[in-house]
Amino acid sequence: MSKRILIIDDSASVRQQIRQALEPLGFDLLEAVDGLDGAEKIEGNDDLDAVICDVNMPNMTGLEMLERVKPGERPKPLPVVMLTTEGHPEMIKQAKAHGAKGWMVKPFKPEMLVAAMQKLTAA
Amino acid sequence: MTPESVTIIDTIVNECNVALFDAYNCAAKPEGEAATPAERKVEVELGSLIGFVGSNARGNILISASEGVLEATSPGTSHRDWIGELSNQLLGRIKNKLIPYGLNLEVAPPVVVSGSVRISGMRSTVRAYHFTSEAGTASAWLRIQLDDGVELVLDENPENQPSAEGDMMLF
Repeated sequence: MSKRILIIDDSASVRQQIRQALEPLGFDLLEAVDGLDGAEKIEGNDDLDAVICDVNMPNMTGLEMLERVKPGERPKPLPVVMLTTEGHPEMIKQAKAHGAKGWMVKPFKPEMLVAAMQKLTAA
Repeated sequence: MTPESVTIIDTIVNECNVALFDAYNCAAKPEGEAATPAERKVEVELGSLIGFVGSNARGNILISASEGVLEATSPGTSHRDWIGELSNQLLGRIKNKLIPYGLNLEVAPPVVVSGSVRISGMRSTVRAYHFTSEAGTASAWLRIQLDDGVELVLDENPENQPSAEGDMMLF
């Protein structure tokens, strides 16, 4: 059964680039346009296997989204990888404290994103 | 701002532009030296403007790129959306390179623009950077204003270094 991944990014171009990297490998992809849309999709979909999430977005940031959904405290813990232009060590610590499982600074290398998603959804 | 700080910023902006386009398989090189533009008003076919602010600095950046560069760096995507994301990634790189110099900037969402754009602030605080590649041209105009007494001094403490672009950290 294919693994279901939610992509949260306010840029349609980035969502398309991620789709181009993951779709050929059989991942089932769902998209959200900002942190608020992402939080609602996480809360409404218990069958997600992982999330890829931007940080700086309108309406709700990626860090605020983490605080709201508490991915590590869900009945089925949800691995979230932050994919962002931000690289500040304090911000990375904050994301980790709120339950993120990974951090990648854009632009992403497709092969690294694929490897991370395969590892995080392997269980 | 001292001439040394201006040189540091010029170097960072040029390196970040070249590295960003290179990451999208578009070899670009600076065209001429960075300079203060003759006017604050610039004409762009398609550009993106982002403001930023920190505890000791503020400013904005405008980038524009030709259709050829936008298509070469992200084939098949919306150019209006992509120029916004590209400016976000460029400012992200610049911002990360400035962290070891003691600047911690927060950025606003990009605003996509076309036509005549007036860069806010004093013209003398604006620097213009132009790039060329086989796919076309790109330009950036950066206005950065440091608070009185703030200068760029490199802190090499490993704990204050940002993560590198493209690196994946799993916790």
